[in-house]
Amino acid sequence: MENAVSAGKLSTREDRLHRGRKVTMAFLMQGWGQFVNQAVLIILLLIFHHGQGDPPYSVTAVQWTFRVSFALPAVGTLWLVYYRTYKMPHASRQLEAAKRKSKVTGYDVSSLKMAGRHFGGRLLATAGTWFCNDVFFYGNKLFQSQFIAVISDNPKSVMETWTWNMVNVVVSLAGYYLASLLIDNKLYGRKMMQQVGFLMCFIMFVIPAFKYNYYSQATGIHAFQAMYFISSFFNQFGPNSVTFLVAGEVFPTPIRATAHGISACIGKAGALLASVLYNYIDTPTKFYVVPWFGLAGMVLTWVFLPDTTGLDLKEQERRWGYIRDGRSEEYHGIAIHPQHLSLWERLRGDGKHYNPELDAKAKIEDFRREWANKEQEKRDLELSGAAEVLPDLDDDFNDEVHGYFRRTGTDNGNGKGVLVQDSSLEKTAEKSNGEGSSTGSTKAN
Amino acid sequence: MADLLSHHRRHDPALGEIPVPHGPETGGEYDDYPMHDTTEQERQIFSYLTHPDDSYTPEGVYWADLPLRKRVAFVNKVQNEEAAKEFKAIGSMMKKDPLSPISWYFRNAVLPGAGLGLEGYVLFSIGNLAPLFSAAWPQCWGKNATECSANWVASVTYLEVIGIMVGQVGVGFIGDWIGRRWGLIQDAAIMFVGLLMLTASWGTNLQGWVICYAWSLFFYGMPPCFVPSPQPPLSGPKVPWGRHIVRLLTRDAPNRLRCWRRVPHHCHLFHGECC
Repeated sequence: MENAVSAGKLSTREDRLHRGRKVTMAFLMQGWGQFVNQAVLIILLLIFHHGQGDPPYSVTAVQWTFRVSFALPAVGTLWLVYYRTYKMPHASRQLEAAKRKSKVTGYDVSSLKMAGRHFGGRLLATAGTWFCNDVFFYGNKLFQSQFIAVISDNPKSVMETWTWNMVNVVVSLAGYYLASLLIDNKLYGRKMMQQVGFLMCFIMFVIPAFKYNYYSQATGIHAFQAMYFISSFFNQFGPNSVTFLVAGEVFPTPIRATAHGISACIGKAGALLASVLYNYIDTPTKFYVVPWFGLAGMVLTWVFLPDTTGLDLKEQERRWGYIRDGRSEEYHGIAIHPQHLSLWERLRGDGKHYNPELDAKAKIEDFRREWANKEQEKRDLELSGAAEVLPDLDDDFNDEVHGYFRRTGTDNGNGKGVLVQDSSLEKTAEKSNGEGSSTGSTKAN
Repeated sequence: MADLLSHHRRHDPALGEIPVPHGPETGGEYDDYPMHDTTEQERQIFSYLTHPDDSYTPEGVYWADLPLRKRVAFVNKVQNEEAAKEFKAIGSMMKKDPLSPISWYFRNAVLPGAGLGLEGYVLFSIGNLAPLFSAAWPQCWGKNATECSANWVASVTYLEVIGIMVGQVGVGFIGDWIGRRWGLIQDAAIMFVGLLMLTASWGTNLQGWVICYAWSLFFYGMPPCFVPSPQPPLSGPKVPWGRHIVRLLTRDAPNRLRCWRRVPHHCHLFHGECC
């Protein structure tokens, strides 16, 4: 439940080390979707076209092939309707409860303004790179019909196109999986992956753009084909996987959904541009147009995208809290470590307050506040007779931390020593009754 | 754990004391914490919270602060340990049930990605079907079409994208308004109807069919990913930051071609078993 999310160290560790992998592992189902589609089409055409793939195709066979290929996902979608209606009845309850509790209603103008000031560059990076990526994502197909026309002895056959497309899907799946494997690697990570991906896409498109005649002839066609596969590999092992992830990750929660939405929407605009444009210009022109988006994407990434690989996103929330309170210069934590800032933000001086020693102290004070709130909450709960304390309220802080806050806390004044005169007294007593001796904990749990 | 406790001197049980109910007292019954904490002690106490060992060296230095050579060594060490741990976990899973990694993969990757998979399937089938259509109906699709307008044929490739963009604005509001649950159901229902329309698309002539096909794609593209209201932190309002790891990417963000199709398992992505 929510608890596993919020509960401290273990899940945050998991999150720090495998956050990107978790996302991309699901994201790459996009590739499997393409794979299945291509496989289904090939099989259906073979079924309805007497076991072979060459033209001429009868209209009936074509009708059956495409209609069945759409009917199959309809079954899956129907299951989704069923699942959402009957198996997932409380999707919103938790969220609503949380909302009620914190009385958060929505955006307010001032925090949006602040977000713009502090994270505007990041939005430029996520939206811009997504736009550039989508141009490639759709542009990739450009190669296909060109080289098939040259290398195939039967270029009119749809089956030929589909087989090559199948190969391409498999190549891009390899890219998806490699991205998933390396996206959390602190020595490579998201930003590098995206830059290299864009760069490779740029190179693989710009070469044939200026020697199109050579590469579209029999002599250059194998190089052309190789460039096609490499570009589609690096599109997945690069911007396509990364843009999806970072568009959410680089923003603090309150503006995350909006920022991800804006980025995705602008990304769609890229897709739209690509798919409209490609209908009306010829292939050599397309090769002149497309590569520059790769270069632009790389530069945008380099200048404006921060690297969140290995960053604990809690820190980003914490930084946002300081920003919202109007004391951003008091935040010294790792969210403004130069490693986790974009070049632009570094030049702007966002990282100059980074200071691990000061941050360690500040963190303890933040913890103390959190602890005090929680204790208060527990007390209130016990007073109001709620029998069980919400599990959400008490993990995370171990006995020593509890002890430390009790000892050094200001609200208990003389609060030193083992027992503290508050409502957790009973629990403490219970505990020390329970166990006898030794160096074990003597603190309330 | 930091060992900061100061222990009492052990002594023999006091003569004549009746040891009820805990037995005779020998000095080890409780320990004292230090009265004043030094910075070093604070660091020890809090290090499991503030300096987790996957990001900090034992001396408390952040990985990105290390000089290059040490950084590489540290990062590799953490990663190798983590990998070993994961392989061990897989091993012990397989010991119990050799097929369990497959079902794990299903639950953690395939199901959460089902929406994206569906998306990839339909979106790319448009491009894949185009050569088949132009082989079967050269008078309609392709370069020298006479029966169908080239613009309508071209619109097939982008009407779904337009549908997505329109849907993000329009249908998203309906989803917000009727609530998340019904919004999710509404989306799946629209997609289902859209697929039925694609399956059954028909026209009295080829041009009519192309138009019908294009609009079906538009309709299919409409259900937007849910735009959630900003996710509030899950605990007390005054806590400036919590252990609440925030929902990273709200999976529901309005993002469709590659998007998370509001699959109910969305949280799996970031949070393990949270849902």
